Amino acid sequence: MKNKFQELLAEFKKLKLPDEEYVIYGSGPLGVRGIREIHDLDVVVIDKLYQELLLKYPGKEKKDEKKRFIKLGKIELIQQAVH
Amino acid sequence: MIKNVKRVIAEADIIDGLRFIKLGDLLRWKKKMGRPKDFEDIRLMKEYLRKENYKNLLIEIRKILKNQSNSKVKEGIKKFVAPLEKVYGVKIPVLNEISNRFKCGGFELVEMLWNSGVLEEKIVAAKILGKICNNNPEKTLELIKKFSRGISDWAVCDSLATQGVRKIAKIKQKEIFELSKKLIKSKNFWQRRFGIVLLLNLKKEKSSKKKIEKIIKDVEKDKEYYVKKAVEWIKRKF
Repeated sequence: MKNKFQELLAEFKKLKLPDEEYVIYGSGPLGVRGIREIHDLDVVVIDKLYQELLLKYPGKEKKDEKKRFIKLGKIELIQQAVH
Repeated sequence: MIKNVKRVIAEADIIDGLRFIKLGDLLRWKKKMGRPKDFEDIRLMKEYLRKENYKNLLIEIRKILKNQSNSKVKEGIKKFVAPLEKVYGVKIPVLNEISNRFKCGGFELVEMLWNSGVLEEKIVAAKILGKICNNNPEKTLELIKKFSRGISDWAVCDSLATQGVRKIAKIKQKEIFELSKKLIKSKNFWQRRFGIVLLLNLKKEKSSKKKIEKIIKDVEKDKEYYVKKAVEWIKRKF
């Protein structure tokens, strides 16, 4: 039986994001190593991919003081400009 | 936000086919953000990375021990030292070199090595302990007391007793006497031997000699070969 974190990762895998255009950060790296329980997944995606995702998931974009992100359930895909 | 995201993505850890930011990068980022909600994560990550570091040191030591193992040495150790223990078959100069190189691992590495149960790893643990015992004499005494319960050969026994506490013998003379007195009464003959050999660290003074004579009275008629040998050894020295 999958735990909640595994279910979250399975959900994320379904998005099929291209390799080398995203990285999971926030609490995800702690969860995957069993350091602590986590309940959501923060993912940084490069700007090019973010624009593609905006088209794919219209109306899912949100903003706060610091960032723009696409919220898909418990997964947040956060826009990151590449310097 | 994350700086150098291209590098962070390229160097990410691939786990279960997914890209996770390296813990070191995440730690730096969380520290920089300075958000109270991250403080506990920072503590947990530091703790995790610290443990990982010790695990890596242990892996490296084991790699060296495997590479340096020699079947003739192994045969000799099995025959004359520890027939029942797990052994690599590595010569003492190599163990000295390892303990010098890895003493940075501190007490945590000492415990990991000791708990492995392999003869050479235990000897390296004793040697490292001897190099770092000054940093925390109380912790050292606590460890040797604990380790004395896991001794099953004379090589490990004597390495721990003679090298493990040598540097603190002067400042912890009273505690070493007390520990020795206690161990000499143990039912476990290796602990009795350890208790005797521990006394070798003490100064060759008249007062020490009298105390030692008093302590070893309890084991002078001991029938165990390794205890008898230790009694002879201490008598020769004092």
